[in-house]
Amino acid sequence: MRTRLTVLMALLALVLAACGGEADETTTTAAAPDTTTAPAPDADTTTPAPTTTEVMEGPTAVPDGPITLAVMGPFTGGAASIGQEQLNFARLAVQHFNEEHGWDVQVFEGDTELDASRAVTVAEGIISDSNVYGVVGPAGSQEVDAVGQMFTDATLAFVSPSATDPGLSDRGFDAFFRVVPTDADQGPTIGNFIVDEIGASSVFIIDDQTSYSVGLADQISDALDAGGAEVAGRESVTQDLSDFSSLATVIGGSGAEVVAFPGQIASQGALLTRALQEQGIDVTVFGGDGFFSAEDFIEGAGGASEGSYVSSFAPDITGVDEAADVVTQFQDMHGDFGTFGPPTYVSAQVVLEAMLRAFEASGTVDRAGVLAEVGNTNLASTILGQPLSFEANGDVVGAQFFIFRVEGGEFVLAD
Amino acid sequence: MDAFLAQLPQQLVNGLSLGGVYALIALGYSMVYGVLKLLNFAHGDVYMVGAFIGFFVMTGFLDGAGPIIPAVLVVLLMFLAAMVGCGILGVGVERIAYRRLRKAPRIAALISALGVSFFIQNAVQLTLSANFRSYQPQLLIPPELGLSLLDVRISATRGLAIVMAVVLMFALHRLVQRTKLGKSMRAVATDPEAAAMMGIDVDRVIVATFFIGSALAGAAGVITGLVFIRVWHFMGFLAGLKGFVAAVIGGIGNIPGAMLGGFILGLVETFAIGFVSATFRDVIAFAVLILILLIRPQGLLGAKLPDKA
Amino acid sequence: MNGELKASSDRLGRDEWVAEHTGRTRRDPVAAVGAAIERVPFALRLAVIAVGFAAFPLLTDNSYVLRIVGTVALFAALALGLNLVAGFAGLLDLGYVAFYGIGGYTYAYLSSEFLGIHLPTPLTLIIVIATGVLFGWLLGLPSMRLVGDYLAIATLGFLLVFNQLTASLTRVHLPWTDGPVDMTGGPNGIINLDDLSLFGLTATSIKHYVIIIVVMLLTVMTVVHNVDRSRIGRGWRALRENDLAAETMGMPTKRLKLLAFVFGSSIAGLSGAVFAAWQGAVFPNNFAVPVLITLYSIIVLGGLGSIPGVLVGSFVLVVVPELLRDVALASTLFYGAVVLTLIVAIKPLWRAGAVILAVAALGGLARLAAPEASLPPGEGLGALVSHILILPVENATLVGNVAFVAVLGLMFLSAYLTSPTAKLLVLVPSLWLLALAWQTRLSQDPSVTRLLLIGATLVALMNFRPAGLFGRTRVEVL
Repeated sequence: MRTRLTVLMALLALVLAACGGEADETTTTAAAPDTTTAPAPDADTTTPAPTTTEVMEGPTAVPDGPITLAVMGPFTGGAASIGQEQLNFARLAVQHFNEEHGWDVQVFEGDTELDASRAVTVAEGIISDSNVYGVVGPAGSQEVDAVGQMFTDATLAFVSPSATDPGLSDRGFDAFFRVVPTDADQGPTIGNFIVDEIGASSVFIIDDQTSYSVGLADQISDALDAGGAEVAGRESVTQDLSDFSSLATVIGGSGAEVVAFPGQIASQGALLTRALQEQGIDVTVFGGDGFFSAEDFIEGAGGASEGSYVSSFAPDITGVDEAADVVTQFQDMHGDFGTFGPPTYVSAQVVLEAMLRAFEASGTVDRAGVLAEVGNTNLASTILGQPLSFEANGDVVGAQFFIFRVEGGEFVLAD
Repeated sequence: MDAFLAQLPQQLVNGLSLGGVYALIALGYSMVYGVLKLLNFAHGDVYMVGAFIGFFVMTGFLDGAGPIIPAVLVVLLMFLAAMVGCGILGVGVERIAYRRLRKAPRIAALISALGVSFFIQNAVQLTLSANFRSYQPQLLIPPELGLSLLDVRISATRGLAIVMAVVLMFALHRLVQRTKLGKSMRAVATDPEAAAMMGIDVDRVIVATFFIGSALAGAAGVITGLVFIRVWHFMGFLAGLKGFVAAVIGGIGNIPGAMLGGFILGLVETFAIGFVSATFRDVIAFAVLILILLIRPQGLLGAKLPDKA
Repeated sequence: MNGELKASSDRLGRDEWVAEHTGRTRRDPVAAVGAAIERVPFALRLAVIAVGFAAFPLLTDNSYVLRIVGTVALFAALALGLNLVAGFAGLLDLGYVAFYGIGGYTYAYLSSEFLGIHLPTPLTLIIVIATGVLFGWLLGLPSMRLVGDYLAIATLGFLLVFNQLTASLTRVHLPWTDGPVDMTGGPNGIINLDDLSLFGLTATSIKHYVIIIVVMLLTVMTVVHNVDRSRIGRGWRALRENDLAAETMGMPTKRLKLLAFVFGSSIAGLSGAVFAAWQGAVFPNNFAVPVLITLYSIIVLGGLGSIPGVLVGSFVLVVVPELLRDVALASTLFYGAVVLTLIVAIKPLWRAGAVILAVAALGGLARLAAPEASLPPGEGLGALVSHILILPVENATLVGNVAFVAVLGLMFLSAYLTSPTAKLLVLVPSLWLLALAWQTRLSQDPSVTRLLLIGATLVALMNFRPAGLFGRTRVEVL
């Protein structure tokens, strides 16, 4: 009996040990031939043949050994619409980078399901995989909080495309960068616009119980107080709420002139405008950058969101020249997109370019080198239509917000 | 108090239309539970599939400006397709995931149901992506259609939701009380073995139960789309839970009870948002549930529980 | 069909069935392993488990492996507590994870700057357990009135309320304070928690935490084992089988139920505190429904009421989803599982072989039909499969989706076929389509596929082993 049990335990141990080792082995054996024989026949069916041959002209342009970019986000579950958009943009960025430079960077999907404890496990997996030289993500501020020290200890650069909690800048996470401005930039922009440009004296505020939304709503609230506008009410809803009718009735009864709803899910903004319209309540809806999605916020509202405002950390990227290719290509593959995708493309671009620079400088790619190079990022332009570089604490330099108004079924720059 | 009185009528309408959706989900839940004593956790996901079927039928018959065939026909087709599609899905789920487990420990069936729920959710995400889709009911049913009494606004879609729920409930009630199939259902619910000995084809009755229950979920899905617009792969999880709660409030296994439970839950949630705080919607809903159960452990209209495991 | 007939004849000749009971479980190799484990003296079992777990922190520095080992042990401890409530006492408690959360948040309140309180760890843990007992008792009170599924929904409501409150109690107006008070940290949680510090030693590394969690697991196992053997444990089992009969025999059923809740919630609370310290923070999403689903899957997979089953269950449900993150490994596991299922399910071995060959032949035909088109992508074993039997595809995503839906349709169809030959005939194209769907679609979206596979596995396991791996097939008295 005793032997049977020990055999069983040993077996379990073996399996576990095998997974740790085997995972690396299989990826190396599978990926190694691809990197040596550059054209990589079946790795990517969409790779047009000419680009790869073109790259072969450049002499020692490709590092040997596999290189992986890890992407962390909520790819399944309730927040999957955000996570999948981010993932698809990151994949597109990697595809473009590989086509342009002839590298064979792989993407590792770290699904966090928006749970910090899973994010921690995923982060351990990423850190222990020696092929990973940079991370895009995690998506949520609380996840950044949970994994920040681990990545910093591992000198593994991680660039979040959507964590906007201002507090993260001061936590001493040296490996942390983000390509979007914080709530401390966006909140006052929205608040001041409501007071100065719209001239509202009474505002209703709604958040959607995510760290992004709560933080932003608090900042807007403070800005309104400072500007002398009254906060007529503050509510918080879950992201799965679809029935806004009763909240609309409350808003109608509160006498507010503007509803500020800095939510993550653009379709919720559309639902709110529809419910207000249905009950004939004349209130202007003001969304945060989460609502900057033509498909969900304008088409989804069926005309009800006309006259609403949203803010955005970028000028409309469909109008940016640098972004034209990315936009059309993405739309061909996955349809329309919202506000979380393009910054993810930029995050991936930042990490990939840093890998390239590190490789060009030293002839090898290593984590510390990539981390240093991410800090040196200085892009003259990105698909967001702005130059990009980082402060010492990982925040973007010169953060700026733009206000759009929905007019004639389109986002029109309002200021 | 003034604000309360001013908002009360409108909130009643809001609550009843939300309650209509909950009631339809609860009816399906309750039927399956009544016959099989199975908590069908996949029911909410069947409802989600129904909402998607309705969505695709709708987009198929819309060309940007309006429907290409009469709008009434489109709406009818949406309901028909969603109900039949969900009915078939429900029957398939029963065959593959539950039939072998009829005599197994109840918790095994519960886990199997959770597995099905996971599977359907992710299968939909895989094939249709995680994006939100929006119904465009204003192209079918003009938003200005409806009743306006003083300050209260009942749009046509909301009216439809309430009426559909009540009509389907009565139809179901008649089916269970008056038809031969209904009689067999009740027989199987009371004692499957005795029913089998009386010559009732138990399998067929259970299949019919799943078909009807899932079809109701499909109808609920389409109504959700028409009234609450947004459909997505994860919508079934919480909706299924709410349907379950509604069924329990009314007395699980009892058809008028499911209806009553649905409307009560819809009203409680709406009033919670309207008069307390949107933040505490679910907290208040569950507090009411627990309170009702403490006073009447068998639910409002549930029969006194027989002391049989 | 056949099984049904047998089941009903069981009911008629119940005594005979009971008499056969031992014999039937013997023939089952997995249950035999379970029974063999049960026969090993408990202390020895404990020692073996301790050595097994301790090996990891001693042998490896890979913090990913350590984190997974720690998670296995943590979930095992948690599941043991749930097993006590649901497996031993038979109470369908869906609010169990809330106690885990209450433990976590209690620890966070008492060991962080959030309230500015930093109590010594032993004191904190005592308070955590006391809080668990208190809340378990409070939630247990309604359990005396509610039965079965009514209890389930009430407790589930408790969990959802807990989740909702932790996420939203950030601006509470209390009568004795001026401004709004942040009571839970909201979605940003409570961060920078103190490390555990016991006997003058402070846990700083992941190794320390793994050791602490394993010690906790062993303690919990000992407690659960001894309680199971005691009068209380026997009382619970009587309660689970038939609480009316138990009451008739003069058992204090209400007190027994309360006791089960209290035991379970204090174990969950303790685990929550250790988890919070390990993560260094608590967030509302840490204690949500997905954890509950994992825990129930663990105890049902392992076999309700079985202590070794819990260990195996948590090993499977923590490690397998991690393995599935790696695309190449997931492909290998997937094809391995398919082939294994074929070998086990199709009785004469040559038939299983014939099916596999037929699938390969079908793939060969498909390749001949369209030699120009490109192959679907694949890594490792997947690449091999791609070359052997996949129809070359142009529009991979669409083809994959269609193939996936077609497989589901064929599965549904074959459930209605009665003749085994017809089933085999349908199986061949199904398998080929499945491979096609895997290569073109499923392996391209590993995160979604992971959950898809977990769902399918739960359904399959429950259908083929409703009592779980080590579950003792109970004599059902209806």
